[in-house]
Amino acid sequence: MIKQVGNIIIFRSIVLGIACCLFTSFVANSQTTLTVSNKEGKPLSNIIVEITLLSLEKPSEQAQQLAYSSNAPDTVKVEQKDQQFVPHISVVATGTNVIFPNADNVQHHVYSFSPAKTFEVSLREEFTSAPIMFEEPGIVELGCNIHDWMLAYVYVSDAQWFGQTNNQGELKFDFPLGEYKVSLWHPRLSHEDIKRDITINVANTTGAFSLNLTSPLLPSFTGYDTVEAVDGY
Amino acid sequence: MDTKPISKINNISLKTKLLLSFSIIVFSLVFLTLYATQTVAVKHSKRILDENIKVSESVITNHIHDIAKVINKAATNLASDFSLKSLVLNASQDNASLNVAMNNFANRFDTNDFAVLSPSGKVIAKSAQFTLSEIEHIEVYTNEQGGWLAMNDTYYLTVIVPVKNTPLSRNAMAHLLFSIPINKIFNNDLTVLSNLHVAVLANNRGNQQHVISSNFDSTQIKPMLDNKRLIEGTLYSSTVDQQSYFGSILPFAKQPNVQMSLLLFTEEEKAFLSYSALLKNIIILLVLAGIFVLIFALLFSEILTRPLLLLSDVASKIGSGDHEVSVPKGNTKEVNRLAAAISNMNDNLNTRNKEVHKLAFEDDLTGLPNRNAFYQFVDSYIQKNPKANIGMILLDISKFTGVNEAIGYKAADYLLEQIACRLVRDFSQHLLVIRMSGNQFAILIENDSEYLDVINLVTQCLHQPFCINDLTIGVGANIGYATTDVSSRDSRALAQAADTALRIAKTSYASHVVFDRSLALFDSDKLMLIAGLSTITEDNRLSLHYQPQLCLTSQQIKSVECLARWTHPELGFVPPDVFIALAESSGHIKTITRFVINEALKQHCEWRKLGYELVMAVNISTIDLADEDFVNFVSASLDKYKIAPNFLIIEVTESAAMDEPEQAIKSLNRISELGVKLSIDDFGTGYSSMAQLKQMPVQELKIDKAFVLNLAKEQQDQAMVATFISLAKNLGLSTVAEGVEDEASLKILAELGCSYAQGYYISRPLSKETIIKWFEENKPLMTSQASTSINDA
Repeated sequence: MIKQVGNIIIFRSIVLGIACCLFTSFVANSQTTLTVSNKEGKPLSNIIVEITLLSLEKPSEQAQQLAYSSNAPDTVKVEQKDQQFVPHISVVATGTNVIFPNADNVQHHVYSFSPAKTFEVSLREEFTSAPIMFEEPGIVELGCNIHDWMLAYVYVSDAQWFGQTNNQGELKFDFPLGEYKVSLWHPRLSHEDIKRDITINVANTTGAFSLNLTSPLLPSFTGYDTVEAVDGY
Repeated sequence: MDTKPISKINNISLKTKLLLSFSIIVFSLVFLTLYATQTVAVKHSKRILDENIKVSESVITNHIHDIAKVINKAATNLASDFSLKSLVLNASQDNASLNVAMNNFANRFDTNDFAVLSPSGKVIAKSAQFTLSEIEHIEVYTNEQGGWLAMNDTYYLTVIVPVKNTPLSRNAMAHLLFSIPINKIFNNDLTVLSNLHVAVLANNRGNQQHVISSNFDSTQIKPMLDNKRLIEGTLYSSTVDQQSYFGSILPFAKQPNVQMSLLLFTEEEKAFLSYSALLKNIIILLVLAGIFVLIFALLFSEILTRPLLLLSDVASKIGSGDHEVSVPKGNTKEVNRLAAAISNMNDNLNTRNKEVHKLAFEDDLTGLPNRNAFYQFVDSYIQKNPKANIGMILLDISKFTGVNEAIGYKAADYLLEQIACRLVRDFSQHLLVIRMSGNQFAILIENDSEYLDVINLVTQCLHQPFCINDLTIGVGANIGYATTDVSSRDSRALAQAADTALRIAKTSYASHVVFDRSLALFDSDKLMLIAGLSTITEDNRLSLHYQPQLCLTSQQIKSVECLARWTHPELGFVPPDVFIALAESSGHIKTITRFVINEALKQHCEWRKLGYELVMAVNISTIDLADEDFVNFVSASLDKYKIAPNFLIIEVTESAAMDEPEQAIKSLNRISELGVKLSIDDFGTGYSSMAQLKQMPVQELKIDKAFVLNLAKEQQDQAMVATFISLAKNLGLSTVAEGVEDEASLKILAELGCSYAQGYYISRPLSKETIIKWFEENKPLMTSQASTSINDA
């Protein structure tokens, strides 16, 4: 099942990545690739990256870069498939609706007591709930009351721009040249890495940034918060 | 060969030694066993107690963990409950609901108190009497076994579980806390689990431990804690109210915020119970064993020592001369060896004794019993038969020396053997045949009326000649016979008596002489006399008596014979023939002779003062003649008293010249040359030799009284006396007749021409005082004193 989830994630990331590329082709920005790796240098997938503009090189291009964030979808799905949440980790903008389609033939009772969003929704088999608005920024931890092992994270971000690294640990974006603040998040990231102040300077039209974690990853609790290149099966 | 003095230690009896050593062994064994057992038992008991304590500790700890585990599981389950999670999240708005729900659950879990904590440990909700405000070390209580919480001097077993959003969430949203006070846990059920007394101690006030829970009276425990020797993990003992306890303190609840210890202990009797019972049994067993061993020791020593004692008795008997003892057998090899050795020794002793006996009591040459055997036989015979009268026939082979010289010593020995054989052949039916000495044999008989017959038989027996080396030799024997009745009931007295009889037989040429008392001079008297002789001249007991000699031609007294008279201090008057003979044989005669001469010359001087000039006739012995100095003495004495030699006459017997004739003749010659008259005494008796008479320079002959006493009656005597006088005259010698007892004899003597007469008729020998009176009374006989002449024939 984990392999399936992984595939799904890969697929979704690629789609997102292509979408980014399409959008950036219309803007005269740089094609920057950000790679997140662990302490040893192995690339990590599914890492949520938040980027905030600090200063533009050419202030006139400011208006265009905001376009991305408005292109974020307003409805996101967190499916229950094979008694697992798919995707395991996702990032949405504040004000996004999230629906929880139950693709299984058993009942699920999705809930969260996270301060960012406390809710519960009972889903009979093959039933999709009404969308639930995630207004507050923060980490929403999802569980199923019936199935203790089911766990998912929805990162509600109010950053100007956010993304998730792909299987290669890469995240591509087209930004106007300038200075940006980068934040990382993943359930297995240590507290230091999450709180780290990272600044990148997009100076060239094409660039690559490599971010290495300073601390080792926290151990995996579930089967499916693996980070690909690091955890083998 | 002296035996060394036995040291005290070696002289203790075997019984005592065995008893002592066995006792020592038994007691040592007992004590060693007791000590070893005690040591082992105590060690063992302590080890068991130690293990007991460890087991108890384990049981208690596990019990507590089990309680905690149950609560933990229940709480964990509760923490994942959706409703509870809602209640916890809504605690800030709806505290009451949470409280009620938690209370409900607390009761369900059988815990007393609860609390809900924020992720940092602050209390969100709690049970009413709980005074908790914050938990600082949540991690202490979140493990499966929970932890101990100290609050207001009470200790709580506390379990904390996290409340997480989902079971797989990494962070807790809140914590649930459930507690049970310690006293609820350390209840009686716990005591039953452990058979030791339990106390939980805390020392969160420095080092002072105090009891927080116990199933034992804590007032009893407190004094134990004052004992400074309490070291965690080691076994210790302490006494409270005269009751001793053994126990151990163990660590309890390893937490940084709480110091607790577990005290497990029990009464000493319980800890060492098995040991005490064991000890009692051991003591009884050992005492019994000891008694048996001691009895055995006594018996054993008895068995060992009895044969040894018997053997020592036997040895003593052997030592005191009993050779007929039977040596008892022993009961062990070693004792048997000893018995055999003693038996051998006895046999050897017997053999040696026989040899010694043989040497002592057997005559080498003839094999007959010897003198020693004689003494022994007689003494023991008399002892056994007090009324018996033993007769001793003592025989002496005559002239044996001559026989030796005639046929040689070897042949002479052979002769003796033959004599012995013959005696044995003929007389062995009597008591004993003995070889007494060189040529003396003795036969002991039971004295009865037939004794003379036996004596005659002996004489006859020896009369038969012996054949020695083709020589035929006849021997003669003198026999002396004495009996114990007559002599004395003593072997030596018997021998002495027989010997005396024998001597008399020899000298009188009798074939045998039977001893009777009159023959013997008692030995003791003889000794006394001999003793007296040594001082004879010193104590005025020796004096001279004087017998006047009448000159027949002039009818005047011209000379006196000086005769020694001795009064022994004890025995009184001793006849001269007795003491002179003794003096001669004991060597005192010289002193006596010189004394006599001295006295005689002195007396002459005294008489001369009174007007009597008398010639002194003194008797001397052959021994004096043999003395070279004698003549000098005579000469010197004459000079001393200034007496002319012709006033001294020296009388010697005929046999004087027998011993050492040369020296005797020499002395006689010198005396004669001095001018002293020499006279032969007792002429006609004893050994006389005409040839010797020729040699002796004598001037006078004294005719023995034997011829003169009965001169008047006996013709024969007259004839002999006439012959003597004639002989003397022809040789130019004067004559003196001794023993004139009557006038008739005197007349005859005068007719025959005898020179002088001496005898009782004239006068007995008189003392110097008495003779003076006699001189006075017989004045007519004393007139011619002026002139003297040697030859007055």
